[in-house]
Amino acid sequence: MNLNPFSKKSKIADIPTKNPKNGEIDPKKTEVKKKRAKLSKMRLGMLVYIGYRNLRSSKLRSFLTIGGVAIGIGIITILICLGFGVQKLVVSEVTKNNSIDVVDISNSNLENFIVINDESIEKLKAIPGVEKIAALMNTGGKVYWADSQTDSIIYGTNQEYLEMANVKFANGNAADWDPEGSTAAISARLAKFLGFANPADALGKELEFDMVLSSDIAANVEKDTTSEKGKLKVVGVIADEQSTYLYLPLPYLQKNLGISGAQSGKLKIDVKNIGEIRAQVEQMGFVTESVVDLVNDINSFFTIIRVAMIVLGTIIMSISAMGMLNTLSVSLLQRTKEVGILKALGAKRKDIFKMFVFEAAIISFLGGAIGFMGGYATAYVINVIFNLLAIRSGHSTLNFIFIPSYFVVAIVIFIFFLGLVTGLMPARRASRIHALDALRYE
Amino acid sequence: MDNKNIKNKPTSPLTNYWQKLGADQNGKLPEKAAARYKPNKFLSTGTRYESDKKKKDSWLKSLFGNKPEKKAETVSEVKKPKEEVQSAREQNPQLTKKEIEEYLSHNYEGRSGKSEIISVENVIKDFELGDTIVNILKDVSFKVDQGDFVMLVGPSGCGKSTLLHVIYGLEEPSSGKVFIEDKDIWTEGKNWRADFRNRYIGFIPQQSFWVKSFSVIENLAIPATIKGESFSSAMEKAAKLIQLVNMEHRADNRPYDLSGGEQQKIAMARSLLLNPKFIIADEPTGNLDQKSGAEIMELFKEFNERFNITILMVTHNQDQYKYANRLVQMVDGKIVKS
Repeated sequence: MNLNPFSKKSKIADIPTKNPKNGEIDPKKTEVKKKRAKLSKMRLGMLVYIGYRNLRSSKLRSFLTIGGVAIGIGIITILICLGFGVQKLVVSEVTKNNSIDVVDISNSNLENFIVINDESIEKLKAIPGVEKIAALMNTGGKVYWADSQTDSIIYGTNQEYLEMANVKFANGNAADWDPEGSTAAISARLAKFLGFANPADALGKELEFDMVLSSDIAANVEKDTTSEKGKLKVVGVIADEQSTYLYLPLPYLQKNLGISGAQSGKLKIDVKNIGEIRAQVEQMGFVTESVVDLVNDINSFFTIIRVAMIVLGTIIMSISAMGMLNTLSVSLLQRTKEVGILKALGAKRKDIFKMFVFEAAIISFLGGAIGFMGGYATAYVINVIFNLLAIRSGHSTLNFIFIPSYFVVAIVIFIFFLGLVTGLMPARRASRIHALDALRYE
Repeated sequence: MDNKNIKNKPTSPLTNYWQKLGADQNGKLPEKAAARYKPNKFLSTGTRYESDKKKKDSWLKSLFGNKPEKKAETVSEVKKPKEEVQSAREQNPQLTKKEIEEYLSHNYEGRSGKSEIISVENVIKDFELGDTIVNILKDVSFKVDQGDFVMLVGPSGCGKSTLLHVIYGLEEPSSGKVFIEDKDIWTEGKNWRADFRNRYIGFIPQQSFWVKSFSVIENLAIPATIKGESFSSAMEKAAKLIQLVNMEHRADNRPYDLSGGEQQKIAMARSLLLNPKFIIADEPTGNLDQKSGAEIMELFKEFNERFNITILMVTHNQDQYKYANRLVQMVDGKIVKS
């Protein structure tokens, strides 16, 4: 038994048709099937060729109709390209320094003040799904170099925190940042304030510092006091021109300055269970923040934008589809006699139906392809122009066009349905015209 | 370029056209004209109808090969294969040559030129016009034999075209039967009849209709493409047929650019494309002047006599009666003379 649907018709016709109710072979239906299989059918290529020739014969009308569809699809593509592109850009900018599997924790809940210390760290580690934990102590202080001195934020943390916060050394090596030693990474702005014209010159220099010790961070301190001057060696410079700060290893501060707690920290977690983990952390009294919150806000904002685009796109496409429908209907009226002669010469209903559907398919396919490529190209050109202007004014370039693959699939399906839906009505009408009525049509 | 000119030069029917292009006595075109003349690729590669008699005969045989070349009036006139006669002699040595001929004739009953091809039996056709019912065909019965050239004549409105449409499978009769050979066509479905029209009947309407976006030769090829043949195979056939009606110089024109007579010639060629069992023509010369009409009728006659193609034609023109070998006269929905 040949079940290949692409093999010769007669072979398929040989398969008897079964009655779906009782599963027995239905001789009447089988006979009808055999008869149908013997009937000739116009080739697909020929039907497409007729559609193509018809479009070519009325060039201006075809151009305008295809142009209408192309403009519709093109505008939708530009809007989607820019919409998704800007969304992707914003999200990537937001998540650049904050990975989505990292949750920030802090003790800023004033009603239930809690410090991150060894005890709370152990408790946090015990929460299922928490992979890593890193604390961040921050306090104010002063940094001295030769005759210069400046106020600075002093952070105490560890290597894992720097990794999670995506802190990169523009100069120096992160491996030199010894957790037990008095090594520091300073911001470029701090280096400049200390008198280094080139922040990289601060590398390897030995600075002095002191810091404010409060009871929040040092258990043995009752009142806020300033520590004695200590020394630190600059092993890294962070390319930050905006803020004045430095990072010191937390173990070093714990050992030498009696630091016992930190105000905030980062948790690396299994992002699948983010909700549960955050709930458990918050139950302990911490406040949690995640970039996921921001990404969700951004996404919901862009969802609204996208809905607006879809509405706009639907209006545009409706106009295009109506134009297409109009073209096909007029084309049918003009070709009524053609339909008549084709039917008189033996064309079947199905052949005529397919002929009109294929014509609609050609219009929508060409319009869709031109519109999609044109829309993408326009968005690309907008991006290039924007970047050229950005370069001229000394800013960095950005890529804000993006088409998700599912949109490409969606647009292909959309074009297919557009052709089908607009082609169906005229095709149905054409196929139902009686040959003699069509030949007599004036 | 020069060789190509000669190779592509159409032969006799195009002499005038060729000369108009500025060809010299050897058929050589001036360079500019040669560059302009681009023969249809199917015409430039196909066998030329007029060029070689032997080729022409084999070519016509391939087109209309399944029909007896000469009409046989009686069963005994049907030519029997030599092998069959020889074997009959060996089996019946006592019989004379004439007796063997008669003996074999029993096997050929129904195969003579007089076999029925169309049989219309008691056909009635009523049309509803508002509340009134108009009786167009009133119990019409007649027969057409293989190879006949039948003209259906009668005054306007007597039902000739309706009868043709009933036979052609386009207009369903209110009652009665239409047999083509032994098949009652109105017991079958719409698709079957469409297929039947396509494969077995050539149709020439009074006014030819065309697919505007197609060239003349592509229009000619349409019946074959409807049959499901590939475009190139249909065009090869069309290229042969267009030469048969001497219209190859118009192959790449738009059909509506042709004169009425030229259009009817193309319609004739189109009707012959699939080697039909018979041709139905509904006043094919109705819109033509006398000269063009006579040309068309000569072509009909030629096809009927040389290729034994059965023709059923409606006409008003009494001058054309001479071309037919049978007249069927209709008056007021009835056949009065058959």
